[in-house]
Amino acid sequence: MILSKTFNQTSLGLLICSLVFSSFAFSQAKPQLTDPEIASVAVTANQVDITNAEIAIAKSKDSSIVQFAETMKRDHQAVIDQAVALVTKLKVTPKDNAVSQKLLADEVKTKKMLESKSGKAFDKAYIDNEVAYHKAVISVIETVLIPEAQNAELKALLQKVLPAFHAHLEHAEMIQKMY
Amino acid sequence: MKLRKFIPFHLVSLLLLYSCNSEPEKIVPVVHTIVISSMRFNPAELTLQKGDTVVFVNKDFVVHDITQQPDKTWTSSNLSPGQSYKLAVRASSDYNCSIHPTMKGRLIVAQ
Repeated sequence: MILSKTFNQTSLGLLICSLVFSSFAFSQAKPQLTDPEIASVAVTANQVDITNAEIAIAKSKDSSIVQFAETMKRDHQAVIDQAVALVTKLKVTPKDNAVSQKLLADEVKTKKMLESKSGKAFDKAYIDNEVAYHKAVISVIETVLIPEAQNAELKALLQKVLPAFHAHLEHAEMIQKMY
Repeated sequence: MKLRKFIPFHLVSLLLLYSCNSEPEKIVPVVHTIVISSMRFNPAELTLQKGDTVVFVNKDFVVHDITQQPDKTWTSSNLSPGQSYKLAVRASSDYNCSIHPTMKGRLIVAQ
């Protein structure tokens, strides 16, 4: 209810496009997220990439794809661990919200798409998705989550993890050039 | 008069004796620290002397390693946050983190 008041359809649509499907800048109407909602989005976004990584580890025969996926699984779990430690310390409960829910709904579609492919087609689909997803998440962290985080420690954590997302994007783009 | 001749002679002798006994100047190995943070090696490029030691300290929140490039002639094991790796440097090397291969560094041994 709160979120339905906060987001209009346009801003939500823009956010989801930014988060999941494209890298275009999320520059128009920004959603207003509370710290518990930001924590939820952060954890969910990392969990989505872990799920994709687990599919790649199980399906790919390409060592560069498998190694990248293992890195994504390990690094994004490290981000979640940091976020969980912080919200535990702050006694904040991550609050489910429309953005987190949409991320999870889109993950179902991505998972279905990835599972329908095999061989080189799978590898290309996975790494293309990783490039787009990291661009989108970086954009949202930089333009929404960091500016809107009220708690200094939460803001600092988001700033701390951002270089890892940039390194992941560069790594994914490096692999993408091979496909 | 005799004393005037005697003193310079002995001063020169002492100096010669000292120079013969003194050992060649030793270069003391230096320990350098490279901090891994924010997905970078800091400093990314380090000039040092052969025999110096580099200690890589992982102050990031994810696991890293240090691997010579391009031949992987030396590599650390995985370094968890807080762990470090000590390397005695014998030659110039390019290296990266093989887990995050866009993280790169260079050790330059001065001639």
